[in-house]
Amino acid sequence: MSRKGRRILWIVLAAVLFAAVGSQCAFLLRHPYFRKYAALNGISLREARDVWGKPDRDAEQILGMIVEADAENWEKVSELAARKDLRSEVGTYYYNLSNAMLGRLPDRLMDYYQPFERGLFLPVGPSSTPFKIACAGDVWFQLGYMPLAERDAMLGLLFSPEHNGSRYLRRLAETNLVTGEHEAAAKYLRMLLNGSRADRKWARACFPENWSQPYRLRIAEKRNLMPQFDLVHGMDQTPLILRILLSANQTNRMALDYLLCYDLLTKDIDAFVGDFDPSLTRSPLYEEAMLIFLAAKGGMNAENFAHYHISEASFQRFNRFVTIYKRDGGSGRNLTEEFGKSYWYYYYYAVKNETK
Amino acid sequence: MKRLLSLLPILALFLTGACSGSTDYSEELPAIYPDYIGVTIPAGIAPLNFNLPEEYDRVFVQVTGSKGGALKTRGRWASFPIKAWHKLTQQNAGGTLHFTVLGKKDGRWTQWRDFIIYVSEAPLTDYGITYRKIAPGYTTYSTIGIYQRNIHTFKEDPIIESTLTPGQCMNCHTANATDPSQYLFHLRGQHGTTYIQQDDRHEWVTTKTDSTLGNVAYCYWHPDGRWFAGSINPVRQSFWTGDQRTIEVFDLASDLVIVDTDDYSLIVDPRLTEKDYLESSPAFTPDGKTLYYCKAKAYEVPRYVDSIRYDLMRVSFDPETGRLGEIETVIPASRDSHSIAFPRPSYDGRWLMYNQADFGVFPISHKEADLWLMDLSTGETRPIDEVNSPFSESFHNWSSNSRWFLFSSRRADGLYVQIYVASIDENGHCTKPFVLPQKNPRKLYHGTLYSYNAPDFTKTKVHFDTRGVYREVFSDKRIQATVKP
Repeated sequence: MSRKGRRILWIVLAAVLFAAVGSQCAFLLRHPYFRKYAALNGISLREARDVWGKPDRDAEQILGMIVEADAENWEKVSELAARKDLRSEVGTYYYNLSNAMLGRLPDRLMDYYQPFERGLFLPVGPSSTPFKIACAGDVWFQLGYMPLAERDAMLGLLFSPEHNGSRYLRRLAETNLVTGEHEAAAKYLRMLLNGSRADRKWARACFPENWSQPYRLRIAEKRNLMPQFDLVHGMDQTPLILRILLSANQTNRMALDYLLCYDLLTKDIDAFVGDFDPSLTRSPLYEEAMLIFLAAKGGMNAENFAHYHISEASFQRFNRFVTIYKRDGGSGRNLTEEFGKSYWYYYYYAVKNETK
Repeated sequence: MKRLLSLLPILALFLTGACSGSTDYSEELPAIYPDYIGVTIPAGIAPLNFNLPEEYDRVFVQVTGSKGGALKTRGRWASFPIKAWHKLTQQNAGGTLHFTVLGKKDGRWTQWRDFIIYVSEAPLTDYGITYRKIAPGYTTYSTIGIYQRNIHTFKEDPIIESTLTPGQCMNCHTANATDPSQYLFHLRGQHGTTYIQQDDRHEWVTTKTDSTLGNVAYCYWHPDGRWFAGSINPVRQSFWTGDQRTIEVFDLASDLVIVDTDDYSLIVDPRLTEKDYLESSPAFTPDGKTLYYCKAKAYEVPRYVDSIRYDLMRVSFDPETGRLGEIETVIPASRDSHSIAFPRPSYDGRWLMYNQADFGVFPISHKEADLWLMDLSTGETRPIDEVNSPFSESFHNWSSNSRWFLFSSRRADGLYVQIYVASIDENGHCTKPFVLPQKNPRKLYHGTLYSYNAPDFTKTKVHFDTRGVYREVFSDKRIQATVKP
């Protein structure tokens, strides 16, 4: 080959290399969370693209919420959710979880797409996708309910590409540390010791003999949320589990809000009234729900308004909603703009899509 | 080359001697994993490889037989060559193996107190064992497979994996008294069915009829091979809220039937299908004349699941006609707030091993569940303290010569189930059990995400047409069982 030919060959090779590196960099810049999500699942970026394909912008947003939730950066999760209402169960699930962790679940509930109770608890069953199952335990862990947090982490781990994702191993270790099963926790911590430098550091700090004061407190706080008595429940008894959590620890505000929101999203107003204690929590959402109940049962009086913290403004707004509703013969077309984000609108017009 | 090989033991001794200058001696026993110290093994079992604690980067082991022979190994963990190990154990059947162990940490060697492993005179002639691998405690929605393991080596082969039959939960696999020429298992789920293999032919049978609750699930072959007994039990899983128990598995209802494989007809005896009672865990005696099973009063579940307690029952059986005789309560365990599960008569007719827990029929999730032994000649019972632990023991089965038994236990970490093997002598004394040997035990047992459950011995290797099964599961071509008039 002539000197000129060699030069051209070198230039072509350099261009190809530059293009490949550039393309990889561009991909990483566009999809930073995809790479982090892959790492949480114990696989490389390349393996992740082989297994899951190239993510679109929506997928990147959801993966971002998962990654930030894993790091318990709740403000960041909320911020990512706010970028676009993805109208997806997983997106709403993390939106709700972040709001709950920030103490504002009921206040923000109606601002977003709500696929009934599936935005609070992702169903785990034969028709659930592994992706959803892997996410389903996050809410249970934060609520302090370890049996289901452990189940979902274990299934997530089994369904993950290499069965060694640190996301699941850390959760399995922590659920067992919270329940006091230190031998079982040690199994997962030992597995993490074979992982990345960050995983090794995390695992070493989690062996009970190495606990720092803040970590000891974290485990104690979670343990404090656990029911202290044994009662058996089925796979589909979410409200019962939440009530058990509440009876074990009345200060579990997150469990209370999840229970009340569950009642409301399933449109079970009677259950909501039974579960609602106005001395423990308050929110405009709960005022709106109580107004539906009181209007139906004939309790629209000052005494009830005071007891349930129903403001004059809420009452007037409800009257206006009812007036338009009646005037239009139940049609919601003139209600959407003003009341589209009220519970009343959800209650009367949200239709469950069973196939989703 | 031969000369060089003959020099190897001398070289090894020289190296041992070389390190003895800087060797610390400890009066303690070495902390080997798994704990094989003092166990009794059959000759010809897979080598009992073991690890020292992770801080030891080298190990040297010398094994000396009481009846002769020796073996040495060195490396990151104690790993013995299979052929030499077999030769040594066979040479020392009825004797002992004496282990000298040295471990190297931070450049210094430590030699611990020597220990002994007993080699039984009783052989273990079976090919291996079969088992399910499943995420601990979760009966559904997860990866499940049935595997067989050559117990004389480390070779494991899949029989069937749920990746081949997605969405179908595989139930207990049942050979006839460890003989896999007669073999069955049940698939739960949309294509639920019972696979029955007899010699070279196999069939898919729907055992659900208009008169029965569903397909048979937990089965036991009659020794003559014509019949098998099966429980029909829709299983559900629940969770405990506290930190003492995790999972509860129970039957929504449960009946017993006997299946005639000549024409796939069911014997449905009203005494074994009572609505207010749960009948489960059938097992024929080796003479084929008695059927043991468990029976409990039914309660609303899951609410009163901890009130369900099973008694041990037996009923006579005529293999000629399939007729069932008088029913008798053998152990009224519920009276003492106990519950019995999985009665398993030894194949020599001498013993009956069973599980006892506080309640329920799924002892694998009960910490208090222990193995018990009944002497069938006297009716005396006792807990098998030699093998029980503070954790769950369950899923026991006998070797074909009834001198060995295996069981599942959660004793390693309270969560993951492993398989243990122990021997029993003619007086019913059992030996310290040993966990199923692995090539690198720590790597496998610490790294696995699966529990090993429902183990059983298999006399010979199971031959199974895995590819054919995939096609047939989804074809829904089934033989419909009928009820005998």
